[in-house]
Amino acid sequence: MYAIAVENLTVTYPTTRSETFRAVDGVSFHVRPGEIVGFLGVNGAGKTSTIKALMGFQTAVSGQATLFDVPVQEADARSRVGFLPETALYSPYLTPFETLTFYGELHGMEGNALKDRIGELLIRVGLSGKEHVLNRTLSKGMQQRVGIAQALLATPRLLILDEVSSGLDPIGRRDLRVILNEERDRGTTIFFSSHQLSEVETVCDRVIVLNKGKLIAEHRVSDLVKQVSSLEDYFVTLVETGGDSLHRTAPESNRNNDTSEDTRTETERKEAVV
Amino acid sequence: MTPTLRVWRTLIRGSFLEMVRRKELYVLVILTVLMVVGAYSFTFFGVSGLEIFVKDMAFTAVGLFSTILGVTIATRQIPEEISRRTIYPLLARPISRAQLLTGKFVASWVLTLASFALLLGVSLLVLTLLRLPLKVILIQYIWLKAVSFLWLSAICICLSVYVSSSAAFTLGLLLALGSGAFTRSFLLAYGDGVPILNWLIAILYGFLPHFTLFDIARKVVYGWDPIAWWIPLALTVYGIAISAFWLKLALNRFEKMAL
Repeated sequence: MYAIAVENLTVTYPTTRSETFRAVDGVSFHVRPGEIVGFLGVNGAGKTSTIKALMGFQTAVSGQATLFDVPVQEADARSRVGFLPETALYSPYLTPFETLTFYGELHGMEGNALKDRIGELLIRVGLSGKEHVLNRTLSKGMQQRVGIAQALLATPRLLILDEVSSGLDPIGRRDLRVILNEERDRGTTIFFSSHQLSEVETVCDRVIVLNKGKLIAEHRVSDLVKQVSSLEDYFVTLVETGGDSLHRTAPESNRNNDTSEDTRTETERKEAVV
Repeated sequence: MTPTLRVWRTLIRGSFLEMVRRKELYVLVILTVLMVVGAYSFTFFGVSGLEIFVKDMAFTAVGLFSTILGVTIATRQIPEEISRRTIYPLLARPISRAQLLTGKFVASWVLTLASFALLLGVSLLVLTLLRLPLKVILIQYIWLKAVSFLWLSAICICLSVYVSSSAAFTLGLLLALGSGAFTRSFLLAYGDGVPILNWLIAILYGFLPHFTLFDIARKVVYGWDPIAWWIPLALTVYGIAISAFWLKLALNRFEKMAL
């Protein structure tokens, strides 16, 4: 069972009455339970559209996506998922505590268990002391912390985070790395998009790169760091040339040979055959 | 409690907290009191027999302000979640779009009803202090208002998923406050044209909101006896059926909407 399985996913947006724009074009990838995967691409590459399709916010014109084998169209697919959208502004008339209570109750949590969980999360995301002030008085970074807390609220098995470090200051980004590592230790699968490549390099097991709606590269971070001077240089070259030079140069021994189980992705398996 | 009821309860509570903290309601309560007391103040200038005028002023304020609040509350439920982007964490929970939309509808209705109850309560308190009693028909007035708010919330929620928030607010207000004028125009046109045109007018007339049917404020003001009980019952069935129609229309759009 995959935590995320995406097969030939295509998402389009109408631009005029007769024309459509392909934001995501036949993308396929899989994420195994427990993996941390960075989803990279320049602005407009199709990351958010893919994530929206994964969460059932956007209907794909073709292909399919499942979360823990449940089709994303079903509400139950989201029962084990925590999601952080890109820059949400939580109700200015509620406090962080009320906001989290609201989302927790929608998830079926109640009573003291919910209160305790909220208290624990507010400390974890660095909002203790701010739990009873209105959201409108919080900075963008603090609102993002509320967002991270709501994503973690129901102890999810899969975290999908869109531009997770957006608005966070260096301290916030450090705290976020700690949280992501703690979640990894707990066995949570994490799939996140980010422009902070240093963060991706530090946290992720694998990266998937999208450009102009197409999947152009998929690598283990441990393989990449052995072959490129920096993830940033590799990423820039990759996007500018539109092709992945490492397809031919990545040594087979570097890929997935650390486990008895074949944990390679479809793309990696194809590469191995070549 | 079923999952749907739990979703509804949570959405009502969240929307209630927001409404209270927005302070719009307080302004309208103060305005209502000022209008009623202002109308009564004419007696100090030696004008006698103003009971009807004062009562009319009170019920006009309650009807108008609760309608404005109802339209405001319902038309912002979904668009505000979309513009703040909080629709994503909402729908990231294991809840369906139908549960969310119906929850927002129920929340709008409950909050409109609560605002109406507060405005009416304050008006009745002022009228009692001024020794201006009302008759039993008041119960039927409250009942029919509750049904009309059901319809109003359904129309406004529906409009808000088809057009922009501001357009939905304008249209909702036009339909709510001008429904009497619109329906009268349709009745005037009926019968003069060709039969097919009459059919068309009849169909359009059926779909137009008839909020005036649900407003018996004048009867309360003039101290009428209660109307036959089958009338509010029949209007309730009609109101629920037409609200369900508007809600289904909203759901058809909302379920396919790319967010």
